[in-house]
Amino acid sequence: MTPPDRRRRALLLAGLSVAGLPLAAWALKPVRERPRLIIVGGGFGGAACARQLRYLMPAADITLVEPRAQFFTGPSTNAALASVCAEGDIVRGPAALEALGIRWIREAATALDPVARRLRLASGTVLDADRVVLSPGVAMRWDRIAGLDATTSERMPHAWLGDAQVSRLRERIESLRDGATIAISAPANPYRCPPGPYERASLLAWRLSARRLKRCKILLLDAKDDFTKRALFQVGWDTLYPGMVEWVPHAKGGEVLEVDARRNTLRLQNGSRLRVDLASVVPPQRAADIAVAGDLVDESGWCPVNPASFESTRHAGIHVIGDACIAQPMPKSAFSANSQAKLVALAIAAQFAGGPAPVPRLVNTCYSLLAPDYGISVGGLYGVVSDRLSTLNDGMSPLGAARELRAREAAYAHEWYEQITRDTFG
Amino acid sequence: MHRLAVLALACLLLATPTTRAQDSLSLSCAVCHGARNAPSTVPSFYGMSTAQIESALRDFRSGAREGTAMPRLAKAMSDDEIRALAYEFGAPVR
Ligand SMILES: Cc1cc2nc3c(=O)[nH]c(=O)nc-3n(C[C@H](O)[C@H](O)[C@H](O)COP(=O)(O)OP(=O)(O)OC[C@H]3O[C@@H](n4cnc5c(N)ncnc54)[C@H](O)[C@@H]3O)c2cc1C
Repeated sequence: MTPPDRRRRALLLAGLSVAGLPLAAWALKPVRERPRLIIVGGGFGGAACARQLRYLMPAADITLVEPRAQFFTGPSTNAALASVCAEGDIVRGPAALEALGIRWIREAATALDPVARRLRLASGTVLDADRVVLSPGVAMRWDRIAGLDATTSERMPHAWLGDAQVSRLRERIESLRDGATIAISAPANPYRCPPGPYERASLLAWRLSARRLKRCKILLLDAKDDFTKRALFQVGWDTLYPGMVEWVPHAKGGEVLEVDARRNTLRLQNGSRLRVDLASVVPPQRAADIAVAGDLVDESGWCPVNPASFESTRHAGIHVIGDACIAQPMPKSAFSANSQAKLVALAIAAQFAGGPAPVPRLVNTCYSLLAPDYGISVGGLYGVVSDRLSTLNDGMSPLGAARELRAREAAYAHEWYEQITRDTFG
Repeated sequence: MHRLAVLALACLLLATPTTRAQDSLSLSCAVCHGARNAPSTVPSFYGMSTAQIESALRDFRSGAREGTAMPRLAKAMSDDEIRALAYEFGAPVR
């Protein structure tokens, strides 16, 4: 994608000629003329960062390491599960980045030496970098819910990682009969896409209602006592699907402690054992394995970063963005990852050009659909205050609003999806 | 009087770094507003003049103009940031 307008390009060029001055200075320092930048992960954060770095640093040697040519995007996964859209509509991948002159290596990184900034790939190839940006997303914690692991999870699909579980869960949903009980579990914070489990329950209710399976029941089993946009979701459930969605908070023992995937049973913290027709268990999460291998996570399982540049506080020259990093109060969303990616690209470009660091301003808006024509949103602007990432202002859709507003926000949600995927993947 | 002068100086000092904020801020706009010629249901600012964008953002900030996502964001924007965004995206004057 070309930068949005001509003036922008002119500004960019002006910036580059200014940056041309320090080029001479580089020659004196032990910095390469073609800085080697490696981005690990070609999802929302990584693809946006590679693209932005390419615009800002035309001379840099940019390599993207991502094993998946295609994946289902997190955003709109719930819509696809409820057949609001087709599975094919939510398939994206990093291929278009190659045309920009970004080298894409279709492999997973297996090890990272964060001091030498040396990456080892699955094939054994070793890559050295001047800067590494990691946006590898999340991994599931299989040690938290008894009986749940990578294998048994296939029978209680989370569909949280854009893989084949999405198709499996959609098929399971389509084969539900009237009177079925469905359990969706939500983990404790922090995790990828805070409104995700609640949007899933909503759109599932929509799909079942559309199929006239009115006696179905959806249980939201929660490890928390509150969740994002809760009042908006609850008003929506009462209005659209009265009696169909039941939220069981942590205080009522809703946390899932154990599952028997073969028997479709779940043991809750309140001692009850539930047998359901379908369970989608979203496990507790942490930063992806490569972040652990690179010694970038702290005891929380996530990667601490300097909020002005998203550079790891554990290892210099390594930046971590997206779901893997600690960016509270920003939620772990595709929008956050995209916004962080652009800030990091600006910060890296400024470092190599010897220019001033960018002022961090980050944006997020998370839309959720309760029905194809019923959308709600939460969003905010973030900056660094006293060295901490802070909310400068935020807000959400009004509680009492006409259906027209919900319909408008649903239309915005659909459009947001098209825009962010184009902005990120091309 | 003295107090006022200090205040004015403080404002000036504060204003200086925010003029660069447009970089990371403006790059996020495309996530919803897309590229220049793409058709959109999300209200577009492309084709608006610098003055029109500036007054729209100011109105979102003050509450004079209603909206969904924009008032939340505009409420945290400084005058400098609003001006920088308006300059960045405002249609060139012919
Ligand atoms: C059901 C659901 C609904 C959602 N809805 C929304 C929404 O409406 N709005 C929103 O903003 N966000 C939404 N999200 C969240 C969004 O998907 C994530 O926040 C976003 O994908 C984070 O970007 P990322 O770059 O951190 O991770 P990802 O986009 O997951 O990208 C990580 C990439 O890294 C790759 N990778 C991992 N390890 C390695 C390795 N060792 N070597 C090389 N590559 C590696 C992976 O293959 C993956 O492609 C939703 C998520 C889900 C699950």
